[in-house]
Amino acid sequence: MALRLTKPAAATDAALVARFTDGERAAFDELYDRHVRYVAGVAFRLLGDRSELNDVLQETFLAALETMDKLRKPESVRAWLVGIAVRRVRRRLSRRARWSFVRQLFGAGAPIASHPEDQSPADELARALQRLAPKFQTPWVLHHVEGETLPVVAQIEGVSLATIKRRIRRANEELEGFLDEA
Amino acid sequence: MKLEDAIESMSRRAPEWDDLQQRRLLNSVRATHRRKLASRRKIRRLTGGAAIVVAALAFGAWGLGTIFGAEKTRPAVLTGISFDEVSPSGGYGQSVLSLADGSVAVLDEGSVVDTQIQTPTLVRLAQRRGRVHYDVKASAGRVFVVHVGAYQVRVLGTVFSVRLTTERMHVDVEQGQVEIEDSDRTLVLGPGERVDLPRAGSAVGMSVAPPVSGVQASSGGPAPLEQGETGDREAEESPVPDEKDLPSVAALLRQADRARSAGRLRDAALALRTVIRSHKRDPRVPSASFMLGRVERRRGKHAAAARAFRQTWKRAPSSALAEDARAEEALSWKAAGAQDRAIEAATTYLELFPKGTHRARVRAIVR
Repeated sequence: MALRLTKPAAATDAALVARFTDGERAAFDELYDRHVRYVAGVAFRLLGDRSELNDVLQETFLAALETMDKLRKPESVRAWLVGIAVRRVRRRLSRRARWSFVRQLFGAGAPIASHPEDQSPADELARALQRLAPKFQTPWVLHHVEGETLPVVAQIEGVSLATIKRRIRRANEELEGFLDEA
Repeated sequence: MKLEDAIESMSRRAPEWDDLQQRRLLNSVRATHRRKLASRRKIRRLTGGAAIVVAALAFGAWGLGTIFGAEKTRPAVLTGISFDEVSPSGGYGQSVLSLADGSVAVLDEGSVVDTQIQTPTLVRLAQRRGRVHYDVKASAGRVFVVHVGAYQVRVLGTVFSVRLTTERMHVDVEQGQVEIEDSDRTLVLGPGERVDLPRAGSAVGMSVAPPVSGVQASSGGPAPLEQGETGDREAEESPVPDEKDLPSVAALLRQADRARSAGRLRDAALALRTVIRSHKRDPRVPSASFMLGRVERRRGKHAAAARAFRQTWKRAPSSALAEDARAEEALSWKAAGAQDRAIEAATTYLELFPKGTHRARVRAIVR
């Protein structure tokens, strides 16, 4: 009889967090396998490219491994993981914005001109989003592109619902202006 | 530009992703976490040591005697180990067992491990209970064995964990290979693979694909066997069916996964070969080649495994798989007895990846 490779029985996220807190290492691996692709997709769409994706994911899941036993809402593991990833992405976006400003100040790294017809609508939207401050860009993407509800976006961002609504409204106004220019 | 269309288009963008990438990322997270834990323990020991010295100076001679004579708590669950080798870790109530050869075992709370033998050529442990994560340092000529229930888990430069309950044993391999053996059967697990077994073993024998003995091809047949080859060329060179008659790549890969999980390694190899030969331009072919290499190795067909790994890095020389594939090629040639090819492949790996993940195992080939 051949040996069979088996997987642990499916469990809820909250149950896996509880098992992890009790010292079961495989529970973290299962949560990782369950959510990493989703988190990678969100981070990728926020970053706009793949260049720093692995670093963001590594930092996200390392932070998760170190602090999951303190998670207050174990049923919301996915939103929590996305929140960690979003904070890491925002740091990178802020750094990119600073360097972009410095490069433009010194006349270096000017964007390569491309014919408007060569850009897809997603490319055009991505360029417009990059012009937003990260604190407006990420909630807008989480809500409109990732389809997360406003309360979940507020939870991910760690701010109040009212603040999220204001930021998304501001992002809408600025994006309209950028897209009209284009 | 319609904003809704742009949002829809953006929401469909996804990064390239595969199972191997997913596994490598988790391995990297785990490795970083272990290094941080080890670093924090070292800092605590240093700070603790400094505090002891300061306190000793402050309290004078009789303070020194009190502090250094204080009884240290020996974890009851570990036997045969001196206190210096064991230290509590930062999280989850774990303990760390540091072995003389540089290997480390991290014990979850309540786990029990006995060290039976520690010599330059043999480390033998017996895991009695619970979950233990082993990070075994590669060492040529040294055998590292863990007795668990009815089994012996034999390793070489590998990261793996064993969880033992009252009735079952679970083995999970992160890096390298382990060989699990009971009284009458052997199973080899590679990176990312897991197995769940009855603790007491089973009366039914494991299915083991016996290695094929070397056979010289007759004229007009397949090409003559080279050094380290076994007689499995025919399967590799059978006619290619028309692509239009074949299942899709996704269906073939699912078929291969199911066959592999069920222990039908020959069927898994056949499905993977079909992907590689009949869908040459598909971007999943390098991953399929890599998987084929692992399957062939489990079948004991080390030369075929080496060729599959070679095809992996040739087809995707800049991919995330290329480093692993080059290392696995060298190790497979070594296992096949093709020393010259193994040394050539190992030397190339060390030149390309001087700080590579597999440098310890590969360097052992050229020594």
